[in-house]
Amino acid sequence: MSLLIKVEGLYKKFGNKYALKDVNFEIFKGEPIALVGPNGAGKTTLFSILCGYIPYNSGQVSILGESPSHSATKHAFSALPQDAQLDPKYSIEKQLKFYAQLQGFSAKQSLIESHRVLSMVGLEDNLTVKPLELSHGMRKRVAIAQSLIGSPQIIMLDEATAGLDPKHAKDIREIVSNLSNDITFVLSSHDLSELERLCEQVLYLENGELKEHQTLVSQDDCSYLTLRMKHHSDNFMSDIMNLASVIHVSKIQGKEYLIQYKQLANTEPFDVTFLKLCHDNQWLYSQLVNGKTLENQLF
Amino acid sequence: MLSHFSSSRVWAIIFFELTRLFASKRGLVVLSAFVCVWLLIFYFIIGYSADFISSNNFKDIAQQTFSELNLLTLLEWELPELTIYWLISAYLLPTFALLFSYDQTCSDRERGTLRFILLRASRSELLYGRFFGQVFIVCTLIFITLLASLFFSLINQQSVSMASLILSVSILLKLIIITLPFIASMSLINVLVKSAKMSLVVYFLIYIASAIVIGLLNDYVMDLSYLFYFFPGEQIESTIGFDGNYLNEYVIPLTQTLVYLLIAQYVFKRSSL
Repeated sequence: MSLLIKVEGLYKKFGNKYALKDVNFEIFKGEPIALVGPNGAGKTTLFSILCGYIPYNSGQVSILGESPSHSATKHAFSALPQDAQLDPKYSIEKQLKFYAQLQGFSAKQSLIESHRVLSMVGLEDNLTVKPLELSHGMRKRVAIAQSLIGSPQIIMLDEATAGLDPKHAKDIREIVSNLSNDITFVLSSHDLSELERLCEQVLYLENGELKEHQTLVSQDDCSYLTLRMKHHSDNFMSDIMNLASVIHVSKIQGKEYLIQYKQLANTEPFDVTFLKLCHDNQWLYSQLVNGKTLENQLF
Repeated sequence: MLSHFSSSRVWAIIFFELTRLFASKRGLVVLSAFVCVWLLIFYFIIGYSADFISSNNFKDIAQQTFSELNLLTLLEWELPELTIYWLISAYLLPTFALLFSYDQTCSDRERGTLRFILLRASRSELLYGRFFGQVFIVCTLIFITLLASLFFSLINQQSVSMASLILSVSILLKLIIITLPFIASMSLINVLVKSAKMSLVVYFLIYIASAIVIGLLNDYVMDLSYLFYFFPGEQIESTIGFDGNYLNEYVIPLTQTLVYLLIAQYVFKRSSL
């Protein structure tokens, strides 16, 4: 697998406060990667350093073997910076054409490229429109379109679906999902269910430190079921505990439960046994997740 | 290192910069204001003053005054319209250069647009692209006003000699060089402040405060008058006489431009967006 991003011993200070402390990780070409953490954890700082927007105090950061400020010239790296807006004075077509020209496209090719990326986000009918004439969601889609110019190898999306209505958030997730075979996405978001759907690998930042650097689907996770119930009897938990494979059942929140089990040899799969129990007791479930949810893994 | 500085990207930034003035509503409003001001200057000042200057009465009176101001060369010019144009432009165009170039990167930085651009171009490319874009804009405007001045001369004198045309090229070159440090100093201010409006305020504050401080130190502590050479336009008074002083006409303004741009590049490379 080819190494795309390598970060070693990264420190960043704002005044006397460390925003990032000894952050180390590597990102290889492949499935989308989630960058998560509470507010103020250092996600945007890390994102800004990788994009070359802010300098760092110490450590090594390389993107495709180059320092972040030089990676811009290779056009293999792109990003959707949080809250960045296009110039309100020019049409979205003109601005994306300009960006494509900066990436080495000729005047004619850059126009074609701007149309291509705008059609990818469903804005092909709004080419000559200026950013202020678009809704918040549409402006976000234009910003995503600019990140797709030139088909880069890595795209970092900072809060790509924040502020979008469910339909357009779904559209963006589809774009990421469809392109993830060719492009490695790094997604920063507070929507853990969204990250769970898209990402295999998680970078979890807390107080400027990288706490987790793991894959969502691991051997350990196969011994868990996360369950959200609509309706169940009072002795629901004790009935599940009576199953031979179950090690522990815990209530996470509301009607959400985490079942830890060990698959016994020569027995039917545990999830089949569990569904039969639900059916026999007329329990209604709304969601069944194989493993722990991202939220339960991290918090 | 050179592979990180692409002239094609700089050209793309320059061309986009030109459209900011010539193909945007705001740019056309600014351009209209510029044209109106110059129409007034041509109609009320250059038109009337040229007749007055070319009269023998004025030449007799002005001989002594122009001699003291080292401006005698200007009285020898064939076209009085060019004399007036030069005297007005040398002092007025730097102000226009400041007004045209006060927002090179500030608004884009405030809005976050700079982040999109810097994913595709280096900071140096952006800085120099924007600077040269402004230089091209100011050059175009100088060229147009100079042509208008020659047109006025043609109407008044019925002909324009080759010597006057060569003199016009020289005026064009000198005016461009005069405006360069003003545009470069705005490039520097733009990387230091985050708001376009603040850039003009900060520029004049630094200019006035520094002039006062240096003046006071000069009067009461020690001779620091050489510090005035850091100020854009410091040499204009010495250049106005067209006496062929290369230090004043070329070396000082070009050195100032280079120094401002190098400082701007150094600061911009290390600043956070």
